[in-house]
Amino acid sequence: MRCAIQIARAAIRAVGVLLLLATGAPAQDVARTDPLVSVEWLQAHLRAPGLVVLDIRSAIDGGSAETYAQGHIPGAIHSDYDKAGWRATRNGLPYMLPGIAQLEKLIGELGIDETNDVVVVPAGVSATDFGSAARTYWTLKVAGVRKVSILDGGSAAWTAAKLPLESGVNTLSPTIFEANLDRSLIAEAADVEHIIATGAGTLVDARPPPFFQGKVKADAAQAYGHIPGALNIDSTAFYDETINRLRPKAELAAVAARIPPRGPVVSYCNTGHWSATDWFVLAELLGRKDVKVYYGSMVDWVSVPSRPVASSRTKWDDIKKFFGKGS
Amino acid sequence: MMTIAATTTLAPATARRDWLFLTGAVLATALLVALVLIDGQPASAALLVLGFGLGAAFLKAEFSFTASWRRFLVHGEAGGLLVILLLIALTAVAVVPVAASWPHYGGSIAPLGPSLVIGAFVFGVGMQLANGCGSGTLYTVGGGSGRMLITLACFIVGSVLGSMSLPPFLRMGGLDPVLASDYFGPWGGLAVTLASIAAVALVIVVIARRRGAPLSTRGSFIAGALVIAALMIGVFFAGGHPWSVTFGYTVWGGKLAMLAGADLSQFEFWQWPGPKHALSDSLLGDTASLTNLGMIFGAMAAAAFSAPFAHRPWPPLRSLAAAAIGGMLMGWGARLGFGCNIGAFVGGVASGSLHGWIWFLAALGGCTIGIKCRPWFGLSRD
Amino acid sequence: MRLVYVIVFLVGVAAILSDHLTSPSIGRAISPQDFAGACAPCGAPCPSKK
Repeated sequence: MRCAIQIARAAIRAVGVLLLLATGAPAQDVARTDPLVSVEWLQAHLRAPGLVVLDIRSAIDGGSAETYAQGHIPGAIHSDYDKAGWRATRNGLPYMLPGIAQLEKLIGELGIDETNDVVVVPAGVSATDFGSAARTYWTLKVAGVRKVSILDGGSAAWTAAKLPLESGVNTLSPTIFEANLDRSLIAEAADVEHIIATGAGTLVDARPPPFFQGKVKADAAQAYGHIPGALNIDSTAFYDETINRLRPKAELAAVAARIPPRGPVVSYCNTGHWSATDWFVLAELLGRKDVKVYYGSMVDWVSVPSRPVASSRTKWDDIKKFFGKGS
Repeated sequence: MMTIAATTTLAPATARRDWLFLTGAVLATALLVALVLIDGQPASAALLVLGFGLGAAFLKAEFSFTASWRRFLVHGEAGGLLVILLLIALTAVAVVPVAASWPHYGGSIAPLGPSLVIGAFVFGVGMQLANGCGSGTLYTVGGGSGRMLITLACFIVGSVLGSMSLPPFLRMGGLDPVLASDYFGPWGGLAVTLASIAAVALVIVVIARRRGAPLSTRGSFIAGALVIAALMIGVFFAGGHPWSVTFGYTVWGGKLAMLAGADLSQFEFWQWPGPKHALSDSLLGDTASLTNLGMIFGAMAAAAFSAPFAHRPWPPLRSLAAAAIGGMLMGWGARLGFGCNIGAFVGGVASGSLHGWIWFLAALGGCTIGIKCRPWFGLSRD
Repeated sequence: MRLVYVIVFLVGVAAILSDHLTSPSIGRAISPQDFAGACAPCGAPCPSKK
C-alpha cells in the first residue's frame, strides 16, 4: 500500500518537473531556503505553497500549547518540543533521538512530508530555547525533510516587529511520512571511540564550562566531566542574548576558530540539545562538511563505566556537594 | 633485640595512658573513615577499621615475622614460624576456594623468575637489618619507634627505586604464575595448599628437633595469630584480594616523587594500569594504603592505651644506619619480589601460588646474610 | 621523640588530606582495579605475553 503511494507521488512529481521544464518557468524559490530566515523573509513568504510554520514552544522556554493558542504567527502549527516526542527515552536514557517509526508518526501527524519547507519557530527568549529549534531542525533533517529553516529571533521577534498574530489552533491533515534517515548527521558512541583512538576528528563539547570541567553535571548523567580530547565550545557563545539572535557570521566563525579547519567534527552535550546549536552553526551556517551530532552525548557516554571521562573535578568538590555547598 | 611494648608492670595501667596519641589515632582513623564513606566506599571504610584491628593485634601480640625467622635460623626455635604457618593455613581456607570461584575476588599471584628470587633474597637481608618487615615496620612505627620511622622512610624510597627496576628484571624471563586451584580446582587447590603447609611444617619440626631446640612459643603469639587470621580474612573479603602492604609504600613514594617534581611517566611500571591509577587517584582509593594507615593508627592507639607514647630515645647511629639500609633493601626487594612477608609469603601461600614458597626460601636465604651483618651495626645476633 | 611523632603525625595527616581532596573525582564508584591480564597484584604483565 505504501509502495503504491510512493510510486504515485514520484510519478506526480516527475510530471510536475517535466511541465516546469516544458513551460520554462523559473524554479520556485521555496526549493532552496536559507537555514536561518529573518522575520521579514517569513512575512513575505508566509503564503508560499508547501511552507509549514512550526511553532515549537514548550516548557523549556516557559511556553506551551496554550501560549501558542493565545497568539502565533498566522498559519503556524504547533508541536510541543518537550512533550510531543521530538526526543524519546531509549535504553533507559532520556532525550534521545526517537526511532524511525516514532519519527514518521510524529512528523506525519503534523502534516509534514519531505516536500514541505518547514520553518521552525522557537520562542526566541534564550540560547537554550534556540537549541530547541536547532534540535528540531536537526531531527527533521535526519528524518529526511530536506528543506528546513529556523526563524531568527523566533516568535518574540515577530511580535517585536509588530506583525499581526493569529490566535486559535491550526492543524494540517496528517500525511504518511516515510523517513529517509540521513546517517551522515548522526554520531554514535562508536564514532566517538574512533576519534579518541585515532585522533581523526574533533570532539566539540557544547556545554557551559562548569559542565565541561566537572563542577556540575546533568542529573541523568552518572559522571562529571567531558569526553577526553574534546574542545569546549559553549553553544551560548554563538548567541547574543541581548537581542536574542545568533551572532553575525564573522563572530560565529571566530568562536569556532579553535576547531581545526579540516576533518570530521562530532558535537555533543548532555543529551544533544545544546550540541544541536553547535552543529547548526558549524554545518548549516559556516558550511563545514562532516559535522555530526552525538545525540546520546554525555548521558549515553557515561552510562558505560569503562568509557574514559576527563574532568577537573576533585574530591573536595564532592565534599562540598555532600554538605550542600556545591553540586 | 629490641622489643617495642613497654613491659613495666609497677604503675597502674590507666595512669600511664597517653591520651594525646590515643585520641589522635582514633580521630585520624575516624576522619579517614568519614571521608571514604562520603565517597560512597564502605569497603574502604572496612579496610581502615580492619587495618586498625591488625595494628592493635600485631602490637599487643608483638607479632614479629623477623624475630621468629631469626630465632629459627640462629637457634632452631621453630615455635613462632609454626604459628605463622598456622596463620597462613587458616587464611588459605577462605582465600583459595573463594578466589577460584567468586568473580571480583583473586589471590596473590606472581611470575616465577629471577625477579622473584633476587627480590625476596634482598628483602630477607634488609628485614634482619631493619628489625622488621613490611607489617613489622607498620606496627612498630605505630608503636612509637623512631628507629622504625627511619626504616619506613627508606622503605618508601626503596620502593620507588624498585618500581624502576622491576620491568628490566622481569625481562630477564620467567614462568607464568603457578596456582594450585588452576590445576586442582577450588577445593583440590585448598587441599594441596594445606598439604604443602603441613609438609613445610614437618620439615621445620625435623630441623628443630635436630638442633635440639624447643618448639613452644608464647600464648600471646598464638592468640595473636588467631585474631590476625580472622582480620586477614576480613581484609580479603573487603578488598577482593589478600592483604598487601608494600604496594602502599610504592604508591606513597610515587606520589612524593611527583610532588618533588619527578616525571614518572617515563617509567614503565607507572604506565601499568594499577600503578597509573593509584598514582593519580586518592591514596584512600588504594587497598594497601588503607590497611597500612589503619594499622599505623591501630598500633598507635594500642600503644598509647597502656603506656606513655614514644618515650624511647633514639638508638645509636649505627643502629639507625641499619634501619636505613634495611629499609631501602626491603623497599627495593619487595617490589622485585612482589611483596613482603604479608603480600608475598602469607598472601602467596594462602592463595595457593607457588611463588609464596619460593619467596619464603629466598627470603630465608637473605635472612642468613642479614643476620650475619647485624653485629656490624651493634645489633644482636639473636 | 614525642615531638618528632607529633610533627610526623600532623604532617602525615595533612598530606593524606591534601592528597585525597585534590584527587580527581568523576562522581561515580571506581571500577575494580584494572588488573585484567596482570600477573601480579602490582599489575606486572605475564612472562608468556612477551
